Amino acid sequence: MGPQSVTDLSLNRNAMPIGASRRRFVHWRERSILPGFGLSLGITLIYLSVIVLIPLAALAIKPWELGASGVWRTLSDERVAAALGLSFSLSLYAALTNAVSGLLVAWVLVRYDFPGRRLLDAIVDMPFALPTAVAGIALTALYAPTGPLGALAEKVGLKTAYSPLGIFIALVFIGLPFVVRTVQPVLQDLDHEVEEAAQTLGASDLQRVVHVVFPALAPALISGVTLAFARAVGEYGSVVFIAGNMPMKTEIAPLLIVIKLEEYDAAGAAAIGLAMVAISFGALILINTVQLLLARRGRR
Amino acid sequence: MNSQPVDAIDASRHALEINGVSKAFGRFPALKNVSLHARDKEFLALLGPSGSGKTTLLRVLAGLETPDAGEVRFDDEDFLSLPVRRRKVGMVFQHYALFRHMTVAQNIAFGLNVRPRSERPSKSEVADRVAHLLSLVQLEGLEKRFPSQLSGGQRQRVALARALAIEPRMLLLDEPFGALDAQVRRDLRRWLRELHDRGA
Amino acid sequence: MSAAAAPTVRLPGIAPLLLLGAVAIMGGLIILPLLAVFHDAFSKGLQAFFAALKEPDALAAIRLTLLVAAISVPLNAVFGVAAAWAIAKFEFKGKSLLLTLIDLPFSISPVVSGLVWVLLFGAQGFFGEWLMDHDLKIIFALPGLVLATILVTFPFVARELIPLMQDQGSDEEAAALTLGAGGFTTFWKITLPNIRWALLYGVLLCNARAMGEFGAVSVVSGHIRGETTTLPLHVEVLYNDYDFVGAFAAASVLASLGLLTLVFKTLLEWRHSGELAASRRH
Repeated sequence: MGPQSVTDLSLNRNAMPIGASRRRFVHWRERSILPGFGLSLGITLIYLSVIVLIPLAALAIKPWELGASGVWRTLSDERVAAALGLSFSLSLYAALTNAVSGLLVAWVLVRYDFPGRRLLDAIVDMPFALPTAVAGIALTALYAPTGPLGALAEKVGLKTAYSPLGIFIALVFIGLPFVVRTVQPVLQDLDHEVEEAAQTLGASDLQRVVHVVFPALAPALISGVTLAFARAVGEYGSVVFIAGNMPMKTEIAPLLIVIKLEEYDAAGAAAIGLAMVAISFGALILINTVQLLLARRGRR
Repeated sequence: MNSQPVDAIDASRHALEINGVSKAFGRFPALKNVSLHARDKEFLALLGPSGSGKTTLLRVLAGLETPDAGEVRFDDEDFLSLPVRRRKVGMVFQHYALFRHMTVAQNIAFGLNVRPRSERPSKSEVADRVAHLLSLVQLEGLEKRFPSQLSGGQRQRVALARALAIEPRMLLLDEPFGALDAQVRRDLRRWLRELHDRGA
Repeated sequence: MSAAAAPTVRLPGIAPLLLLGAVAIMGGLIILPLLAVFHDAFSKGLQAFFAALKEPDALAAIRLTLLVAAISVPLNAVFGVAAAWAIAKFEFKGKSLLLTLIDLPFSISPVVSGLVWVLLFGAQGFFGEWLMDHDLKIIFALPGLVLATILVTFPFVARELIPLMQDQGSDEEAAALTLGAGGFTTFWKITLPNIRWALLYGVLLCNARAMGEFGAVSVVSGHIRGETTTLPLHVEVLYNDYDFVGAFAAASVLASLGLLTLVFKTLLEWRHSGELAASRRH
């Protein structure tokens, strides 16, 4: 019959934990001595319901005002299909490009020491911190035919604004931090003994990077690319200025939503929105499954 | 105190000579004017409290550290001028450093597979060698396992087999039994001694 | 060069090349656009710059942006603390669902985040008629702007606090209780000091996003100059009117906000990395 500690009290089913009310405890949660569960969970649930669940429900319901055939008609309409295709394909290309550029930047930041490294590290977050509209007009200023980089590109025959290439550039811009920031910590924490073991076994630097370092980075890289992709698909502000917004050619899906709203076709806009959300979620679930499978291989 | 064996299984005919090696990290002198000679086929153990520089000396021998002063000669060659990959020094790290995304067989075969084309053995030769080493370390049947599925003692033996696969002229083991429990440690120590005596 | 550094690629040619490549990417992609904003803002001189900012519409936009942020950010902070408290200090089923919901805004387009409010409260929305009958305006008015901003920015504080508080555990709070402290006192004196830097960090990010949000706000605002245009929307309006100096002047204000955020963010990461969940990501 030793001293009764606080933990003893909370484990003792017959004792009432400190600070708790006298309600019967539901069995979906463990008893805890800390107060405030009801209040905090209540605030959380109410907030989430009002801000997320109810609006999402509206998104899920509204398209069906048109009926299933109406939804299909909206989505298969040439212009809509073109926009959806453009958004998703360019986002994919941009995300994959960022796999390379993000990896490069992360590598350089982690593996080398040079003057200005800390500055470079801080700047990586810029596309993330900069308001999207600012990024949008800035990129346009640079890459339009009247801008410095755009004029240069024209000489080589490339149209870097008001074209899919311009959209692509904007999407690479906003996706870069996602890849860098997911790869960086993994690269940082890489067990260097493993790399040294590879060296003692005779591997050249290239072999070491390809066979030992890269496989360890793969999950993080995939994760970062996925985030970049998801962000790119929905991106509006950074893209809508440089895109040119020509129907069938350089119109992105989010813009179409805005246009539908302006045409008082709320249901149509909702249909496009729902499609975007559904496809993005599908892609995310797919990637997560791939990640899980990869992780099963010798993860410790 | 705790014995942390360092083995120098010399598979060639000449001796290892370490003369006046010094290495400091910042202001901390890990090695100060260390000299050591080893004969062919000798089995050496470095004993000392932690922080006395044992690991640093091993890393210098493996090429993972460059000493500030001194020379190392092996086979009458200036060992220090050789890059890590060319030294043919097998090293078993304290925490084994196995490649966790590769199977046991792939780990062991790694040193053979990264050889330049001209020196690389054929796939069947590699497989034979791996099988031979697996039976040597008594881990037959575990070819397709991943390191995370092995016990500490098993991982240690895989690390050893992996280092042996490249037919090293010198085998270094850094606190090889440090992470294992006493019983396993005793068994492995005895077993390692036998392995060496058999001239593997 | 520390002894504990990972082995660097030793091949002579590669390292400088990689370095150059990385710097070129960062420079061309990220730094140049920023420079372009300020360059174009001041292209007609300092006077024109300030004149543009003193325009009534611009001032109204700045005020509106500040107002929206002043409402959204504290609300999100309260939510973030509440959610983190519930998730980190208690065990219950459904936590991962909550976490998924909290992360949701990051996976949907900002335009969709604005669209949903139009679907609820717009003229064709589910509550549209009811609102009209009662002469209440949510869309094309301040409440709509606030709601859209909240949806897009609420995860920031929560995401900073949750992993940190989970890591910190409940021992200190439990000790405080045994010593006789009540619930709020415990929170105020024990929990809050432990999370204050992460809270500040989250609020910083939340604020930056709230002030800079464009897509979601664009959908619900109606672009009524002087009334429902926040500063980012004002940039768009001016740009579409070919008032480039004006647009870039406003943009440079926003860009400065972004830069300031980056500076404070980096400062927080350097000085208090032990108490930030973010440092685990970086």
